[in-house]
Amino acid sequence: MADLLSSTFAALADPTRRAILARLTHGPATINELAEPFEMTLPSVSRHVKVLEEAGLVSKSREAQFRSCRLETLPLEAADGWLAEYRQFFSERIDRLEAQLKVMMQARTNDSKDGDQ
Amino acid sequence: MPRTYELERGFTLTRLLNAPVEVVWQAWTEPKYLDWFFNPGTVPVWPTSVELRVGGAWRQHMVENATTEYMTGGVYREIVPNRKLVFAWGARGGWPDLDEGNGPEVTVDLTPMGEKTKMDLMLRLPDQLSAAEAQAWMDKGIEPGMTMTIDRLVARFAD
Repeated sequence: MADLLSSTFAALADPTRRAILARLTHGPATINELAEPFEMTLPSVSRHVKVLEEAGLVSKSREAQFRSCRLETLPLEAADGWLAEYRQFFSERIDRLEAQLKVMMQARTNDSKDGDQ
Repeated sequence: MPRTYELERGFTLTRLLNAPVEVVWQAWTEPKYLDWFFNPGTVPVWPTSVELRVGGAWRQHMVENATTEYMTGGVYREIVPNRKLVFAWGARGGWPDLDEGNGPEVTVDLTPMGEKTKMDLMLRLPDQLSAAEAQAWMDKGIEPGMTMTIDRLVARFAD
């Protein structure tokens, strides 16, 4: 688990690889298609795709002569689920902050009423 | 090595709060208003303390139940009154334990929206943590988080 997350985060740390993943959210693409938006040689795009493949974020289909790459979402979901507990902790704290602010605003209104009298 | 926070190891919570920005700031920085950070229905033994300067600590005593209690709060890293509060979340010898190295950093950004306030709360883990270390930090979150959930559910159905 830790190893998978480690490679997921390492793969996501690079902006080119994040852009490749963003492109793949629209559907599978070949290396040629992935290389189009970048001023980069095909081999260097291939290297980035290989890192994503090793992290389990991308898989290649073997059908046809040109292999297309597709996005695998499972590792991303694992990385996200990892933070879920902390997110919940703070989300609940903010609910209580809202209740606290309501009390403070009520006290303000009362103070200004008192001031008017 | 300085801490960096470039990896997407964190989350952002955005909420539109029904109070002007200076009231939200008070709720975050004045001990008498900080009770909302406690678990509901608990009685702290030690009073909450706030030393509002960079490097200063906000310390708050949390009581979970008869056997579980801990200090929490934070150590301030950046303070822009009514706009921004950045702190290392936790307490020395508390939860999360700041003695255990670089843990989660929380940034609270406040944007005035007339009589309301947009609050963005960001939590990030430093990039220097290995996945295993980050996982260890994450694991510390589970128990208090779950307790909170159950308490909140009970409170909601009691209404």
